[in-house]
Amino acid sequence: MTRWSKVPLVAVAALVGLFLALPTFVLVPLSFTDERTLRFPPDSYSVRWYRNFFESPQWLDAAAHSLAVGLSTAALSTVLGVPIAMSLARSRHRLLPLVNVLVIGPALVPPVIVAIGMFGVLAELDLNRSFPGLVAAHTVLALPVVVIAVLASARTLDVTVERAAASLGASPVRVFVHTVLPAIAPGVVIGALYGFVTSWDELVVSLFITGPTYQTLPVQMWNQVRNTADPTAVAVSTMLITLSTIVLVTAYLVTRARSDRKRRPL
Amino acid sequence: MTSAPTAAATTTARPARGRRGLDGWALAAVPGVLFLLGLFAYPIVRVLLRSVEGGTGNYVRLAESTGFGKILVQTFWIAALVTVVCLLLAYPYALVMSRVGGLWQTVLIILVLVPVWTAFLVRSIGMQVLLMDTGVINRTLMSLGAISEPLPLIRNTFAVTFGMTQILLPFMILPIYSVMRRVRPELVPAALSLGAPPWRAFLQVYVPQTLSGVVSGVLLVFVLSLGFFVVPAILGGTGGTMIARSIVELANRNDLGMASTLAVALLATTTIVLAVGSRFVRLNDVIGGRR
Amino acid sequence: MSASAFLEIFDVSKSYGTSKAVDSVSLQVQEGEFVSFLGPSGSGKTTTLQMIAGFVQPDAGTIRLGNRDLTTVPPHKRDIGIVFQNYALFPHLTVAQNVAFPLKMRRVAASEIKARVSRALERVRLADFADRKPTTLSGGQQQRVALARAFVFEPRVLLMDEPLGALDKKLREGLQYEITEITHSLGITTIYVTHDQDEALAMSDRIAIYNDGAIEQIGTGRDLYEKPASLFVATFMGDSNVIPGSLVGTDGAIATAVGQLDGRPAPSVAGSGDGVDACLLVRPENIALVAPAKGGVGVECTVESIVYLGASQRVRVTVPGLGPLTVAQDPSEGLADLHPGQRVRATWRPTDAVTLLGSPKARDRTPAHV
Repeated sequence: MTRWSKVPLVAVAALVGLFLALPTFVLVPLSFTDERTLRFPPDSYSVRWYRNFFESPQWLDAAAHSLAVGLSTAALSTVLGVPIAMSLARSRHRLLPLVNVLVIGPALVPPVIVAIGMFGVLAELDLNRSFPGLVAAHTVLALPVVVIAVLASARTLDVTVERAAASLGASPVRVFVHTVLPAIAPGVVIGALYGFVTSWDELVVSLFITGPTYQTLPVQMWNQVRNTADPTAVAVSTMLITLSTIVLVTAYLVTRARSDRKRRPL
Repeated sequence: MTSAPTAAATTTARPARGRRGLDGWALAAVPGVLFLLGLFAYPIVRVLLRSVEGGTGNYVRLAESTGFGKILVQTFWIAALVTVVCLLLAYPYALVMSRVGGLWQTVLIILVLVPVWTAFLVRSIGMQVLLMDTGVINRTLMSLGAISEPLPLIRNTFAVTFGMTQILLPFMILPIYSVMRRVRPELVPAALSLGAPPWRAFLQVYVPQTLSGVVSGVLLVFVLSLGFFVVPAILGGTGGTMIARSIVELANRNDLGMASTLAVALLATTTIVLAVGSRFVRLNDVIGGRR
Repeated sequence: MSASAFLEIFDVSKSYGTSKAVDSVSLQVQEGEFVSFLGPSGSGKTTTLQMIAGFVQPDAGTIRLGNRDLTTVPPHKRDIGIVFQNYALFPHLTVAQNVAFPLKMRRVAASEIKARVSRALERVRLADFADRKPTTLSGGQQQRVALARAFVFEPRVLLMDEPLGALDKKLREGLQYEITEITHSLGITTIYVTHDQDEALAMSDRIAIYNDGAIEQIGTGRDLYEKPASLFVATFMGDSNVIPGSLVGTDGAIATAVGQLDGRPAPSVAGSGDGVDACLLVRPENIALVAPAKGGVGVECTVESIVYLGASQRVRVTVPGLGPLTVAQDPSEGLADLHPGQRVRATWRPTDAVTLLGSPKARDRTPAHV
């Protein structure tokens, strides 16, 4: 309805869009280089760096470790996070504001600080360079996003439904299983996905608490690129971007379909 | 336990419930809280204690060393610069995003969300091949004949600022966009009908409605910038060092005392920034804007 | 037409894609007049308002205000006050700052702003709320702030787009009175969009009935009610009984399923020949129920139900071969001991029946409420 000077605005938006997209998309052509050093544009193309990934036990082990840690983190952070979210949504206990700060803290405290503290604690427990140690550390970082995702669902819940179920004779556990859980299920699924991605992408804390014997994919990539760009890391990056784009577009379409059905914007 | 309305000071409206001190829902949080106390709160306390192990020597060293002082100042300066540049780029982008319809809106949203869902490390690698001497920008300019020698785009403060801006931009765009979507569409027409020229309607009526999103975005980007590690480490080279990177380097050299001391300085700064920011916006909403 | 028209809309049209939102609308409004746009949603009344305000650019036609062509003037230079349905108060400003906004835009001196704002707030009885934020006020109070903000800068025209639509009935009636009292005492030309006919009747000097992007008829409430120009206007304004048939001659008589009935022909009937679809409109309050033996213009029928409404009662009768009619009568008058199943005769004066072209849709034949 109004006509704010549109042309410069759209031009700025287009440039910003390019700025957002460019660093991800330049990886694609470079990942197919046939050369040992990265140069743009490559003189010849091949899939040798992709083959290098799939033939290297070191890379494959790192990916397998990341997958295992990620899935375990998703599970643990969901199991711990859903009850916390329900407490924050439902209870009126006076300590809950403090619980809230404790839960969102890991998302706001710089990861370096968590890393250095975690390293010390895991050393006391002799859990450094171990699978349980990594899952524990990643769960700390994943809990804020899991809780917030579940909380968003739980806040839309109508308490009267639970009261109605209780008045009809359902025990508290059955009320939860039959009325609360189905309603917050979308939030739980999204939360678990966030938990997995948080772990899958995590670098800083992992750098401290992994060792040469047990590395995750980001740590392996880090070791390759910290001094100079590495073709295999670029190939892996391209695969990761493809993966996250597929996940994102699917999630976007699913939530769009859901919100269209409920006529409620995302 | 039933006496004081202690919980009334919480930030969100909760449905009325019984006033027992520990209801069933409160008990549900206990396992998670114990987990976080043990593996989040205790580690941080441990860092605090480690920094004063054997007295205040580390803090004296921090105060006296010009090297650390310079890094602290540089960290603050880069974080502020990144925040300002992000805001200047994000506001018009979010504005267009909230006002176009259909396919274009989807495209603009995807352009923001794909980076959000891609690891910082992967995007830093993308920036690396963009900025390096044989990278996309330098080789393109050279083949066009615009330059004969590669521009110094990497291993300096410019690269760090550029990279952090690119990586943190979505965290500025998303909170601003979500507030812009909720601005009532009749407010600007109302201002125009009352005699405000379009630019005054924009500045005096539209922009104030979006300030909470701006504050959320600024807070999030600034706090994330302060503790940023990946970009300075990959793109910074010997220049553009920031405090998080120094902490990692000190820890690698097994100087855990000094590393902890710098960590405490970083934590204190972050806490102060968040404490000030939380007077204007809810911190939960700030994090909610991350994904 | 008249040179003295203050606000003149001439042959204005606006299309969105293939649908015509407003189709060649023309209208003259005198200075100080209160005109309502009444019609169903999507009939083009809000689009017309938006074109007067300057938010929507007409595809064709001109809009003139006091001999100045407004068509290409941007909204902020039109000097037109608008009250929106959702109030559109600026949430970051206090009540007083909201009302001061148009004066600030006009660079009025600070001392004068203060005086005019407090006068305007007193006028809408909100002087005590000057320093509150709008969100802390009730819906009715917010709308009064919006009203004060729209008239404080003495605009040449005041536009109101369903300003009371979000409020409940009691509050609405109070505010209707308050709004007309203010606009009349300020002598401000007002255009008021509503879909509520009672509201339009209570407030307006004249009402423009919108249908399908065009003004179907414009006139005083009494004109529209008693001399509807079309079936749409007749059924939109108030309850009515519509008896379908076809024209016989040119004096307003129509042939119906129950024989020939006389009516006063609407102007559009002139020039139409025998056999054209037409119908007779009789208002419920113009029908009297009498004993079957009695004569007079009317039809034989059976009482179906009687609803007592205090000041009046509504009797529903069935006419064999024609369907139901609604009769509104004073409970103390007419036939004593009226009861369902009773055979009666419904009569009316031929001058109270209006003959209109067209045949009613099923929806229009049933009165709005019985």
